[in-house]
Amino acid sequence: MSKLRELLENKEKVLTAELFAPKGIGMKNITRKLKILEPYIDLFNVTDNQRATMRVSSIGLCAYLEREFGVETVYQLNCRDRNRIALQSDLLAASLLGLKNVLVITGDHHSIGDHLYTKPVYDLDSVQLLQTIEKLNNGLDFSGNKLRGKPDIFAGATVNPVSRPMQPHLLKFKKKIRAGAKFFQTQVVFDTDLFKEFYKEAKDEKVPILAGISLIKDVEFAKFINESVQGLNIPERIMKRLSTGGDVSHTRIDVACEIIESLKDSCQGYHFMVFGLEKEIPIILKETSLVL
Amino acid sequence: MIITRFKDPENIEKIIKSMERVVLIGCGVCALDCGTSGDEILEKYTKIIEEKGKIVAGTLMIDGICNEMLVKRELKKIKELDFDSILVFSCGSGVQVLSMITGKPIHTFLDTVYLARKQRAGHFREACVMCGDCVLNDTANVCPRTQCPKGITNGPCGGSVDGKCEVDPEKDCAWVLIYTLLAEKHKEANIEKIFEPQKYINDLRPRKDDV
Repeated sequence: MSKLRELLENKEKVLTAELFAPKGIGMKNITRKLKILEPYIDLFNVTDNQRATMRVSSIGLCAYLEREFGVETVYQLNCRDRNRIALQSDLLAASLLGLKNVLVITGDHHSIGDHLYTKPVYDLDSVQLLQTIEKLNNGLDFSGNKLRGKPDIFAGATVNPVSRPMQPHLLKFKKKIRAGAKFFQTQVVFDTDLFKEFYKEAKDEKVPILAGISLIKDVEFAKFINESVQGLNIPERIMKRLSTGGDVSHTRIDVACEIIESLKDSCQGYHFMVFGLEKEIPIILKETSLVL
Repeated sequence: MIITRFKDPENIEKIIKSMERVVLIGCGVCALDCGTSGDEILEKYTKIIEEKGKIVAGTLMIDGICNEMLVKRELKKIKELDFDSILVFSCGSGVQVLSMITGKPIHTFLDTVYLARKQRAGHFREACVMCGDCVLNDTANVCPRTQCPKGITNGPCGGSVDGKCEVDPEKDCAWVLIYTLLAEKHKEANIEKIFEPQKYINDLRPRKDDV
């Protein structure tokens, strides 16, 4: 059984962390991050050609991490790079390699990536991919052909709870649940009021939500995010705190802790995306009493 | 209408080098409208090609080079001319029609890009990707396969913010727009269903219709 499924049923707050798949097969950096986090984090979630830049595949890297370090992972699977045949065969291969959890994503558009002239696929969207996973779990492929040996894939999806207007996102969120999403991981949350507003509408669906938590390195990085990462918006009051001198590492840890505290009644866990500041996650987890 | 664009100058120069005695034929429909064909264009390139020491034996405009019967008729006007290849200013369809009918080498300076609506002279916007599986009846007549850069059909992606698109923040998110237009008419139910994946059997190429 998926450890993630079990924890979502039994643990008060599930903790996952994102590891960026590297370009190439050098594992030094990712191993270092994993070692820092392993004592504290329940599962590692590995990106799939994030920001449309070519990387080692999420499935391959997850299988490697599970084999080498005995951790459990969530592999991301994007709709941008594969048609329905490739998506299914990769899902089956992942099951064969022992991977149990998948996070289904649409995928960033290739125009922001490093292969500008590639052919984007989007043969299935994330909702249709979730439906396809349900079918595989029931022993059938997309076309209704019987599988010899069916997988048991625990599938989740993403939602942007802070994007407005909210209704179109809520509509898609509900479609994903109907299509088979068993958990959600959100985009990074900086504005907790917006998140709570979304949660009010979403909580009756009773599907666990892992809130996306990030650490903002400094005010320059915050500006970069606001200017170049669509879908994230760091509020002015946080920008102000980051730029008022003092030890910026204290400020960013304080900000993250406050966000976590503020969301504690509005989510079933936290998903950390920290852009190289892994060392600070244990501090945050201790300060917020998420680990002892 | 079909939008065509000029290839880059280096490419065009290479094509000119491969010519000897050429006739220039322009399309008087789509290409004329989007500025890649017409008397002025033929005149301009006649001059450029002659400056490179090649011979332009004549020029001709045809109102729809994609129309085989019309092209066969119109070509009679140049049958006395002495030429060994044709330079055509039309979409790819026209290039191939001329090739099939004349059996001569055909050159083109153009790339065929998309199907557009015309806002006003010189301003074109892509409107339909000719998917063969139309969803416009349900989507407030806004095509998500065209207006969403990812062509997704079940709602906005996570990059949609403040109703704007992740790929081009100047542009409305197709799905927020669709939702808003439907909500005004209390027809959100149209898009609550899960849209099926596109059926690409319609995409078996080359497609043909005999009606």
